[in-house]
Amino acid sequence: MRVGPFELEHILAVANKEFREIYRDPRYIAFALVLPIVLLFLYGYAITMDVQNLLTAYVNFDKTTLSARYMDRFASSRYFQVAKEARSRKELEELMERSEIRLGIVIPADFSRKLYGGKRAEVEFLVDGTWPNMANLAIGYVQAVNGAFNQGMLQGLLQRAGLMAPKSPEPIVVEPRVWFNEDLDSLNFIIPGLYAAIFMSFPPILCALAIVREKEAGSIEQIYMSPISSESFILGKLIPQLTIAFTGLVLLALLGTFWFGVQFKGDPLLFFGLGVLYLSTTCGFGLLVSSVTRTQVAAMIGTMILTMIPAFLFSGFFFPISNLAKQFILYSYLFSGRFFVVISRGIVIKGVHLETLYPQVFGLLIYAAAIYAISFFVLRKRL
Amino acid sequence: MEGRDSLHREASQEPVLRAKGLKKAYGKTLAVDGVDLEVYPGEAFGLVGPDGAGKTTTIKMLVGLIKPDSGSVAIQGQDLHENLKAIKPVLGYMSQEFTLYPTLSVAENLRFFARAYRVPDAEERERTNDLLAFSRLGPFRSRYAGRLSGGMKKKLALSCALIHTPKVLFLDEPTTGVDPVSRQDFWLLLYELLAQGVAILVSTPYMDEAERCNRVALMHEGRLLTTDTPRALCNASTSKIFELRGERASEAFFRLHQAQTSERAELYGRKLSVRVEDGQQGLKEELERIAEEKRLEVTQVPLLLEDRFVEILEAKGHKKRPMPPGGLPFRQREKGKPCIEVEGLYKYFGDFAAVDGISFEVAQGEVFGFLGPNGAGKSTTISMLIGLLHASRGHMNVSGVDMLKTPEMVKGRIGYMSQIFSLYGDLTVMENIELYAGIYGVTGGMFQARKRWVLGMTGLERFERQMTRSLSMGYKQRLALGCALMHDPEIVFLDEPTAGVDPVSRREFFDLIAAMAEKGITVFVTTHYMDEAERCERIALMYSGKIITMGTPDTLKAAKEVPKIVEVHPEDPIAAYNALSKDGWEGGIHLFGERLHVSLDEAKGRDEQSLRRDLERFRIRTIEMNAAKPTMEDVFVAFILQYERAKNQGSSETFP
Repeated sequence: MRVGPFELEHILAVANKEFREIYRDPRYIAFALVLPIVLLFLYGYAITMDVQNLLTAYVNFDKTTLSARYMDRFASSRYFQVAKEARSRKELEELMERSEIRLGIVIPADFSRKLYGGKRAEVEFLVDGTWPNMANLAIGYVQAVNGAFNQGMLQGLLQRAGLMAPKSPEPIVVEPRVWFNEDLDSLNFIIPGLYAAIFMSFPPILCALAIVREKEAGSIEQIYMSPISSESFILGKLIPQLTIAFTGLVLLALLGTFWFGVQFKGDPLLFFGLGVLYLSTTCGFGLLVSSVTRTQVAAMIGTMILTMIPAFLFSGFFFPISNLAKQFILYSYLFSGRFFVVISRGIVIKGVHLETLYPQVFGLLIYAAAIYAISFFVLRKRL
Repeated sequence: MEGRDSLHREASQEPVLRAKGLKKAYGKTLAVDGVDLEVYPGEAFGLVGPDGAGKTTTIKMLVGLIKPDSGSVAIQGQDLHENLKAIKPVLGYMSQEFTLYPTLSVAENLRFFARAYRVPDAEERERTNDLLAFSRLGPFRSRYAGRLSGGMKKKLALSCALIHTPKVLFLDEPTTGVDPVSRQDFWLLLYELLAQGVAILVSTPYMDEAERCNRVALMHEGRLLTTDTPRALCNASTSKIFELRGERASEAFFRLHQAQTSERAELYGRKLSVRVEDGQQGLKEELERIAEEKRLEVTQVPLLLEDRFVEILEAKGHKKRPMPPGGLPFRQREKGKPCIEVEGLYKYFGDFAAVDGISFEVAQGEVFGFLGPNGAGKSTTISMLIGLLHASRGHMNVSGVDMLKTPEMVKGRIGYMSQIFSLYGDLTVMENIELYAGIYGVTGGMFQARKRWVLGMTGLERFERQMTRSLSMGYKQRLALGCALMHDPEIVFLDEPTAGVDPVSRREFFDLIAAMAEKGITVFVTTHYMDEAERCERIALMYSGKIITMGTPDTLKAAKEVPKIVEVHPEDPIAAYNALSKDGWEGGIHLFGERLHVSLDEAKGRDEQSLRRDLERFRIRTIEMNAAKPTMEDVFVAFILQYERAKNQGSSETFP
């Protein structure tokens, strides 16, 4: 049976041969299935965007109960871990330079005097700005703790003055209602992102290797000599790669749901259906690399550099794509990961349906059409 | 006589392959520079030449893997590049490298190619069984291809190339690196195909192998120098070869060298072979004078294909360079005392005895050859001799150093030149020489003298600043040898030193070896290249960890284990081959172009009388029949087969 340049018998013959080779190569299985799982665990446990237990030290020049109470507020918060009381400001600075602390608090000598005198006291907070995100969060937490203290103070003052505290000390209350990720647990954000990011590098690397390996060994010459068309050969090579990659995606989704406890809210069928589409685009990327490389080492390194970094940086995995500089927003379209990051998070966290994902699905379809058209064109010329 | 058959062929048959004006350049280098050739059905056409001659590029253009820059290829009268799809199924191709799938079994590999060529199921079964029987791979059908021996891999690759019954078969160096027994086996398979009318184009760097072809084309630097039957090529020569045999053959060689007439003299152990052009009466008389003085026996021997190749190259200006005058800047050593002594040497890897109790001795100044197929234990032995590997047990003394006690002591006393080019390609000629001198601490006047000598003997005096990687094979080999000799070692170990080098450069190389031996340097050559083996004074044959025989090339050829060979020139060689090899002479018949080499075997009742009787019985008319000299390859095969027979009586399948 043949359709255009594709001959079913040849495609099956190549796929069959490929499956047997894969099955007999334990290193392949390790690379294709074990490594993605290792990455899932690595990233799942290592990356957390929540800031907790910020290492903190302070100098208290005031040495009164009031200033001690003020510090207690910080010590009892789960966001801060007060590691040390320094003797001098210099010591505090040294601790900061040695990265032993991320936050330093300097309570001036006139702290309680000013407060009791009804004046404004100024407390100095030194924040390590090396990690801007963390610093921003830290400042936010500091302001929150400080605000709570202020309020307590105010109430105390009012009471002492014999005045009734107002019924509602805060005229306006913010009532945040977080959607989708109610606990604001960053795992819920990371894991579905990993479903997309991990499979942006592994399937292309394996696909590129599968073809370049035959170039390097010379066995591709026997294929050229035979009546197998290059189109059938490539398709026959893709089927097993896609199968393995899909197995990997299922494994990761199971681990993410049951081990990491990231609740799968959407339709699994939709997720895996679009998953196949996504995986075929990343395999296509590997094909493109294989058409321009001759050795396995070059194919491996080339694909890694081209996919690994963009998978995490330009896919919306870490940062929203809209935050990227303009030229990088365009660049991000070179990698299909940007579409599937949205799809995966959408289905897993939000439980959205296909209608919501139309732009991403169309993006993937256009991407797939483009990458296969280019790969087949280049490979045909090279074969 | 020779042309008769080709005339007959042209009248009756069209060539199945015709190439005209093939050219291919890579950058500025012309890899193939105008190749014309024709191959007929049922013919073995040999493309012979050194590495880099353009053989592989030519074959790839002939099968359509590379598009030629200009020229055309026609298969069965149709242009290849215009009808590639239609022609592909007619072609069979086997590349030089092993290109099957190592983790698929023998049967799975065959099945994959059967499906690639859409062989119908019933035919596939039949064909697979035929091919497995024919290649004797039947017992190994479920073994992974990657786990087969070198010879078996080649046979499987051939079987895969034959699954779709091609009309033209292209074999790119099918027997390079294969042991002689497997090589003979491989040719037996090819004869069957020739008998079925398949046209075979085979490339080879081995001249002795080329003699098996009906016609050969000698290829050099991208051009075909000449094309004809091997015999016609040799007959076209205007020279004769004289052999001077005796203990003092090397003295005669250096006499000729002093008289500056050594460029056509070749020293083969205790044999001097000199090519004398017709009309060179002076040289002929000088040879006789020298022979009388050195008490050497002079005989005229048949001119071989390699001699003819050299003659043609010479006519093109590629002459053997005479050795630089003034001799070698090395100490003269006393010859004859033992220099390598090995006794009861073993090396185990786990339970496996890679070297299984070998003993031998090499004298100072001797050229000693170590022969054996891949995996016989040659490399393991060498590694122990040069101190890279510790012996499991036994006694081993190299140049006065006890190798089981203080192997590191040997380092300054030996030189080693590996098969793989071991110099630094990105250093210039001079920088490489300086590097090696530096490594061994050769300085001052000694360094100057040896540097001059290396440049002189390599012929690189004006190319000191050239990048080493841009040199041709022959130059690289000589430079590598020069570097290995910088520290004036007592022994030099050479691993297949001239594999892939053109015949003129090989001859230059062996002149140097003769000069080194004359200075008393011991030369230890490992090889499975028959021509290199012939060059040694004494050879040891290693097989499955043991030395199975040892001696001078001539004594080994005359050994009783080596079968007598009768050369038969029948009128119809294929018919004669078919009749004899199917009835009573299985495996004992080899086709050498228009001739048959028949191995006699008294044990099987195959003597000259029964051969004559069978020729008569099958009504095979013969033009000529005479005794042929066994080659080193015959010797090799005979001893291995005898060893195998002694080891396991009756089981023929253990030896693929």
